[in-house]
Amino acid sequence: MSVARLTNPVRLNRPAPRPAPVRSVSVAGVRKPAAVGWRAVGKLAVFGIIAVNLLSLVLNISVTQSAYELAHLKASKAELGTQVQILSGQVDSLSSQENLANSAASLGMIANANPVFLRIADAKVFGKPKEAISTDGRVAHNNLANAALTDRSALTTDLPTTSTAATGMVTAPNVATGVASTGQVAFSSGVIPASPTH
Amino acid sequence: MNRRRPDRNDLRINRFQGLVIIIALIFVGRLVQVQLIQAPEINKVSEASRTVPHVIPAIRGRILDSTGQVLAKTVLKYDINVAPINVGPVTKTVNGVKTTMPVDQVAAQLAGILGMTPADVLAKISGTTQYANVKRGVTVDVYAQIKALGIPWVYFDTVTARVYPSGALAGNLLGFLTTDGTAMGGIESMANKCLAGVDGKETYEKGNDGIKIPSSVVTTTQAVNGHDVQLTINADLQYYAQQVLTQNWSSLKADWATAVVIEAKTGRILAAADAPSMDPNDPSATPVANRNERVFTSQFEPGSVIKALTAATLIDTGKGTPEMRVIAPFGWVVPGTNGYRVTDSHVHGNDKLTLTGVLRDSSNTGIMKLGQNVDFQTRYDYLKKFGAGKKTAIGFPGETGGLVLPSSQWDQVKKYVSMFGQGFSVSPIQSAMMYQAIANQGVLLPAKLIEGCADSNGNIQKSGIGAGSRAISAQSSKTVIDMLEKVVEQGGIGRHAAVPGYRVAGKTGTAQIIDPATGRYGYLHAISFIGLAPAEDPQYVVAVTAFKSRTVSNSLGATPVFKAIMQQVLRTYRVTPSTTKSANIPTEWK
Repeated sequence: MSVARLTNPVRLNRPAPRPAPVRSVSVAGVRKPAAVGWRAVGKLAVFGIIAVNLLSLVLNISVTQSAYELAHLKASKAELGTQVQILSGQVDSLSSQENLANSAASLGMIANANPVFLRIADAKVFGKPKEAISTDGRVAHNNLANAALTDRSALTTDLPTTSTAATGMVTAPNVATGVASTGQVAFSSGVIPASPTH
Repeated sequence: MNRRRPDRNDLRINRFQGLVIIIALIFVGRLVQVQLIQAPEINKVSEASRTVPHVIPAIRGRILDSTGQVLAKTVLKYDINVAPINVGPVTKTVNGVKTTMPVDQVAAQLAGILGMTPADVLAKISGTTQYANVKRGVTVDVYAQIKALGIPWVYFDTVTARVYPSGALAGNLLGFLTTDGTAMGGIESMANKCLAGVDGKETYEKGNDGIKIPSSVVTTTQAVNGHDVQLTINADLQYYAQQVLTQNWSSLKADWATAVVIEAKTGRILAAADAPSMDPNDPSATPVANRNERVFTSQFEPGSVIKALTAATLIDTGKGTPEMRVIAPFGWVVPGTNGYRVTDSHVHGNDKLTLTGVLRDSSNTGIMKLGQNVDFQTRYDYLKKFGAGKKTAIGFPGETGGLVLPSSQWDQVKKYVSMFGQGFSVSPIQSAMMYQAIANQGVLLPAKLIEGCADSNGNIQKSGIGAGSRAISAQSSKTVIDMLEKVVEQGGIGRHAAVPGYRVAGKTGTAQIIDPATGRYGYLHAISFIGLAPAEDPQYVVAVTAFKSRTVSNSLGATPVFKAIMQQVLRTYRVTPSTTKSANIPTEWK
C-alpha cells in the first residue's frame, strides 16, 4: 500500500475524465505501478536466488574438485608410503646382522675366533695370531633365523665366488629364510643406489 | 461502482491458483512430516548408509638397541579382499590394445603372487556376496604387486603388523605380538605402557564413488602413537653372543643355554642370549617352551659358581683369608648328619689347599670345611645380600626370583651343600648379578634392561643408575677377585677361559640337576662359567650356562663360550689390555 502511494500520488487525486473507462483505467492506473514494483522485487529476488545458488554451485564444484584432488594426493601419499615401506624393509633386511653374516660367508669371510690385540704404547702383541680357518669356536655362518629377511639378490651386485673355495670354508646352510621381494624399485632417477653389503 | 463480472479466464486463473496452493500445502505438509516429524529417524537411516566409521590405527613404538638399531617396529600389512558379486573378466588397455583376461587367468595371477593355488583363489572369489577375504596380512611388496595388476574387484584393507628386522636376534628378549596385537612376553609386554598407542576414530560421509563428501560431518579422534623404547642391549654383541652360544649349545646337545653380558659398574645388561632362540617374526616356528627368555625365567641349582660367594663371606666376615689352609679330601661326611657324604667331582687324595686353591680346584669338601667357620645364618644372610631368592629390579615378564627357602627350613645337609651351590636355585641373571656385585667393589646394583622411554618429541628419557646395596666391602671384593684370577690362571678347566692380554677372574660351575621323576640328582649337569674382566678394574661380567649338557659334563663346555664372548666384549668396548700382574697368592701348602 505504501508503495502505491509513493509511486504516483498525483494520479490518485486527479479526477477521471471519462467515467466509462475510468473504472478499468483507474484500477489499472492504481495497480500497474504497484505490480511493476512487486515484479521488480520478485525479479530481484529470483535473480538473487539464482545468483546465490549459482555461486553456491560454483563453490561446491570447486570444493568437490578439491576433495578429489585431496583424495588423489592422499592416494599418491599412500603410494609413496608403500614405496618407503618397501625400501625401508629392504634396508632393514640388508643391514641386519643375519644378512651381513650370510653375505660375509658367501664372500669367503670368516670371523676369526683368535683376535689379537696390539698395545700401541710399547707395540706389544697380545694373543697368538692364527689363520681364521678350522679354528675351534669359530662361527662361520649365520645361526639365527630371520623370517623378515627379503631376497637381496635384486639389490646387490653378483658376489664373487672364486675366493670361497680357496679358503677351504665349509659352506653352511643359511638358517634364515628368505622371502621373495618385488625386486628393484625404480625412481625417476633410476634404480635405487642400494649399498652393497660387501 | 460497477463490478466487473469475472470472466472465464479469471475463473481458470483462480482455480489454477487454488490448485497450486493446495499442491503447495501438500508439499508443505509432507515437508513438515519429513523434516520435522520423521527427521530423526530418516537422518539415522541416512547417516548409517552414508557415513563410514574408520579406525585410525595407532602406531606402536619401536624397540631400539643401545645404539639406536631398530629391533622391532610396526609396519602396514594388507588384507586382500574381493567382492565376489563383482568378479568378472578384467579388461586392460596396453599400448592402445584392449585385452580381456578371463577370471581363471586373473585368479592364477593372484595365486602366483599370494603363494596360493589358483583353485584356492577361485574358490574364495566365487559367489554372490559383497565381501570375501582372499589372504590376510600380506607384506607391502606383495600388496604392491597385486595392486599393479589393476583388478577392479580386488580391494585392500590396511592392518598394522609388528616386524622384527633382526629376526631371532634378542627374539626371546623382545617377545612378540599376536595377530590381534596383544603383547606376548618379553619387552613387548614389559614396556607395553610406553610402546602402545591409542587408536583414533574417524567418521565421514562418502558418495557412491567412495570419495568423502565435501563439508560432510567428520568426527575425528586423533590416534595417539606409542613411544619408542631403548634397551641397554648392544645388538652386535647380542648377535655375536647368540651365534657363539647357539653353536656351542648344538655341540653340547644341551636342553638350552644362556649367556649374559653385564656392565659391572652400571648393572646394564648388554646381551642376554638364548639357545635355542625364537624368531618373533614367526613365533609358531619355535616350540612354546623355547619362546621364553630363560635368562630371567629359568632357575636351577647354581653349583660351584657359588663358592666365590662362600669365599667372599669368609673374607668379609674376617673369618678367612685367601691363604687360609685346609686339607681337602675327596669325600667328606657332613657333620651332624647320618653319614651324608659329599665328594668332589674328581678323585684325589687329601689335597693341602688354601682357600684360593679350593676355588681353583673347585673343591666341595674344601669349601665346606672352610666355610663352616662362618655360622649358617650369616652365610644365609650373605646369600640374600647377593640377591639370592629375590627377583631383579627389572621385573621381566615371568621372571623368577629363584628358590631360597627361609633359613628356618634348611636342614643340616642343605646348610653345608649350599656352600657349593646346592639346596637353592637361582636364575641366570641372578647368578650373573652376584658376580656384578663382586666386580663392582662389593655393591650389588639393580639390573637394568631398559634405558628409557621416548617422550612426545622422540627423545629417550634415560633413567640413571639405580641405588645399589652393599654385599661385601670393596676390599673384600678385590680380595675375592684376586683369588678368582687364580681359577683362570691355574685351574684345569678355568684356564680355558683366559683371554690373552687381559687379567680375567672367574669361576666354574658344574651343578647337579634333580630329576623330577625320582626326586634325586640325575646324571646330567648344568654347566656354567661366570667371570669378569679386566680383573684390575672390572668392567664387564659374562655368565654362560648350558643346561643338561650331554657331550661335555663339566664347565669345559662353557669356558670356550665365555672366552669368545668376553673377547668380543673387550674388543667392542675398546678395553685396553692389562698392564699389571695378578696378586701372588699361594694355592697350596706343604
